[in-house]
Parts: sequence; structure tokens; C-alpha cells
Amino acid sequence: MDIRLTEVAKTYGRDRALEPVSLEAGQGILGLLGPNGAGKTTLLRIIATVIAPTAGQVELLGRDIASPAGRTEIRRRLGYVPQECGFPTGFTPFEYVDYVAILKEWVDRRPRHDEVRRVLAVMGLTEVAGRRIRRLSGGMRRRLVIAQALLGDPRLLVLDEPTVGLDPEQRLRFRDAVSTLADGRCVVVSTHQTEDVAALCPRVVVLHEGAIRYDGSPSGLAARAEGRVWTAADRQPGAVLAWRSEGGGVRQIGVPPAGAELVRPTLEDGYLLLVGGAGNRQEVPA
Amino acid sequence: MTIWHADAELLTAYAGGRLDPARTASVEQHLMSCGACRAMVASVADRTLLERVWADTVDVLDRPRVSLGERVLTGFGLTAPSARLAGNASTARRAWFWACALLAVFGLAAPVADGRLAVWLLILAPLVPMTGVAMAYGPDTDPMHELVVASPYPRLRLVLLRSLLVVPVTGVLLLVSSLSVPGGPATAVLWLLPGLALAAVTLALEGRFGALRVAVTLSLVWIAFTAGARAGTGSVLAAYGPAVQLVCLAAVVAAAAHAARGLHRSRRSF
Repeated sequence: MDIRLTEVAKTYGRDRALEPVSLEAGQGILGLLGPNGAGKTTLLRIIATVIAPTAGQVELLGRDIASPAGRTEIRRRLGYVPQECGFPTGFTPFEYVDYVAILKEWVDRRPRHDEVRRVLAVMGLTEVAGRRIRRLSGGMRRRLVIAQALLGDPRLLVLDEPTVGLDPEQRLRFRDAVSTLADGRCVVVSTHQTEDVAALCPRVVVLHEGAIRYDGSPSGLAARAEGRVWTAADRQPGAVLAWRSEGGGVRQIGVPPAGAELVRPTLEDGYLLLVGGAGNRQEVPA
Repeated sequence: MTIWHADAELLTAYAGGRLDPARTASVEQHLMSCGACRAMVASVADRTLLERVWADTVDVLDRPRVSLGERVLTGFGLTAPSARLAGNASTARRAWFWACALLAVFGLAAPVADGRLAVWLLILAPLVPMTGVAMAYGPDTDPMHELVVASPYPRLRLVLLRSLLVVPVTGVLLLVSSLSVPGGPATAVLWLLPGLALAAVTLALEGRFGALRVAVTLSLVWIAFTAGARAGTGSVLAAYGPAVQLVCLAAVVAAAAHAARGLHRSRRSF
């Protein structure tokens, strides 16, 4: 197992960010879904060895993060995209990735620079490698942060909301890049975009209010809403959530009335049902 | 327009780098004006050689700029990657900026000031190198902190590297500025040892308590101590007696030993 969390919890003062969570993951892509404030970032920062858990045991790539030597070993084989990441003033993308490469112990200049060029090319940033970062668009900056995470082909890749700020085409390219990366490594991607999970992840974990609410396949999550999704001309009393769908009718999740026109649920339906209406759909008033 | 063309044998020898310099120059002169021969060179050129030349060219073009700070550090024997981490951190630049600002304040105020400036200097100057150290590492001052923490690079080594440039530079700048302050050269150098001690203790304790917290606490303690000494004896110089200087020396030695031990073990903390 690449990731083994046993009863891992995190509190900030009196705030409980993460309830005791147990989770195991091996090779492949694990999608972490959840609304804002669900504890996704806390969990990922623990997996990225940035913060220590308040309780529980964390074993990554066979090493315990409680030991300093273990952490260093893990960090040598870790790629991390934080949710928010600043940039030093005046750096170019090349200098930025080069700086991270030095932090990742790439000492010899030529192989380090070759590796910097490689990861910039993977994220389609070769053309802008010499421009100042402050002149890049938000999407390019996000790709730059992803590029540094790919340095040295890490065994464990932790991506916290990597697709925020990317346009649809860039998201597609990102999914393509990540899906090719999944071979032989463990990738954990957090997002609140169900489309990303549906396209990328054979396994999805839903985190809500600091606890795991679902752990299984995306189709299994969709199946949870089986018989709970229907369309009608207007919002009906049994609906927990309802929104106008493309066909002009109102798609609703909840307890369908007798004779309702049931539809096949999607991953998003299952997720919305699970987190109890905490999604970002525009609600249709009853 | 040229009517003469280089033959295939000549071009093959040129592309393979087997011509003497004079003939190479002649062929190159001709290639500049002859599209047909250029096309032929392309077809006979050794692909491996071309790729290597191209990779070398790209490598030179991509090479990041080397800042003045990095050059100074490599001049003192630091390796290029270490100098990059030390000299190109925006945290270091910010610390420089504040040191220069303080220098400007002292420099501008010196000609019109009386003894009060020396008092302020003696209270504040020792805090400057420590501030530089505190700004060298941490989520509040380093935009890349999250990535720095998740990297295998030893934390203490990074803090020391970043301090390496900040502490001497701020120290020298302050020393120069304090020479212009009334009170003579003796006053100007009094603060050096306490300044070094505060910076060293910050370095020693930052791993456990966080650099900013340590620096703020030490600042408050130092200001209270100097203000108390002045209130008690009428002169801030009382805070710089031989006993204090000795304690500071002991603190520097102890902190240096602690850092050396830490570096040796390359211990890391969250």
C-alpha cells in the first residue's frame, strides 16, 4: 500500500478539521470529492507531509511520517500541488521549477535543467519558460505548479484542486497528462468537480464535515441515487435539490412522488444526495 | 548570386566537423548565401551531433540568470545550487530592503541628530539581523513555503543558507550606518555581539517554536531589557556591559554548536 492512514485526525485549537479517518490506497488515481471546508485540504496536507496529524498513524510508501528520516524518504518520492501557491517575484517558469528541483536535491545542473525542460513540456509551458511568471495567465500559473510536482517522476502525487483556474481545454489536457501518470504510481486528486472524478478516477472518496462518507467506484456513487432522481415540469415537494436541466424540465433529487419520470443518475447526483444539498447547483424554488 | 556549389564530399566533411578552420570558414561563408547547399548540409548532417548541439544551445539559452548575491556566495566557495537557494530567495531580498531602509534612516538622521539617535541605534540595531533570519523561512514570508516544507531539502540547512546572505549584509550595512551616529566607533560596534546572539538563538529555536514567534518574543525581551537598563542607570550603554557581551558570546557559541549538530543529523520537523 502506498498510503495507509489509521484513525488520522486533525484539530486546530477547538476546531475539528478531520475526524478520525482510516484510508488505504495503492497504485492508481484516487479522487477526493467534497464541498469547501470538508477537510480535503487538511487530509492532503497531511499526506504531503506538510502538517502533522493530531492523532493517528500515517504510513506513506512504507515509511512512517512520524520519523524525520521517514519523512525525508517520502519527500524524495513525492510530488505536491498545493491548493494555493505563491510565486517569488521576478522568477520565470524555468527559474521557478529549477528552484524546486534544487530543493528536491537535483544537484547537477545539466540533468536538472533537462528535467525542468521535460516537465515544462509535459504541461505545455515550453514557449513561456523564459517569461516572467507575473505576466502569465492564471491557467498557465496553475500548470506551472503542476509541472514542478512532476519533477523526478514521483511515486506519490498529491494534487489539491489542480484544475481550479483551468479552462475546459486545459482541463482536458490536464486529465490526459494525469491519466498517463497513473501507471506505477499513486495519485490523489482533490476536487469539487465531479466531471474530473468521473473522467479520471476509478476510485472516489467523498469527504464531508471531516469524515469519509463514501469510498468506492464512481458508478457506485452514482448508483446511490438510483430511484432518487427524476424530472418534472416544476419542483415537487419530495425534492431535496432541484435545478433546471438542459431539456427545459426540472431535474430533482430526493424522494420522488408516485409515477415520477425517473432518470438514470449521474456521479454528480449521487454526490449531491450524499452531501445533502451542499453542492453549488442553482436551486429552483418550490 | 553564386553559381558554384560545394560538392557532397566537402559538405559531409564540414557537417562531420572534419574540416580545418580555414576551409570551415569558407564553406560557412558560402552556406550563408546558398540555399541549395544549405539543404544539402541538412541531409548529410549527423543527426546525433545536431541534436547534441541543439540541446547544448537550448541549455545555454535556458540557463537562469545568476544574481549578484549568488555570484558573491559562489565566490566564497558555496556550490551553485546552494548559492541559488540562498541568493535568490525573495525572502532574502525583502530583508535586504529593510536593512537598506534602516541604513537610509540612520544616514539621513545622523547629521541633524543628537545623542538620542545613538540610543535608538543601540536599542534597535541588534534586532535587524534577527529579523532577517526570521524572514528567511516560514509561511508568512515565503510564498513557496508549502513546497519548501514538502521537499526533502533539510530545513535547517535552508534557513542557514538564506541567513548566510542576510545576516552579514545587514550587519555590514548597519555597521557602516552606525559609524555616522554620534558616540564614536566604540558605540558603533557594541551592538554586534548582541545582534549576532539574537540571530543565532532565533536560528536555534525556530525549528521548535517558529522563527517569527521566537523573533517577536526576543525583540520584546531585548527592548524591555535595554529600556529597563536606561531607566535604571540613565544610559542605554548599561545594557551592553561586559557581562551581557559575555552572555551573548556564550549564546552564539551554544547556538552554533546546536546548529552544527542539527545539520549533521539533518533533522527535519514539520
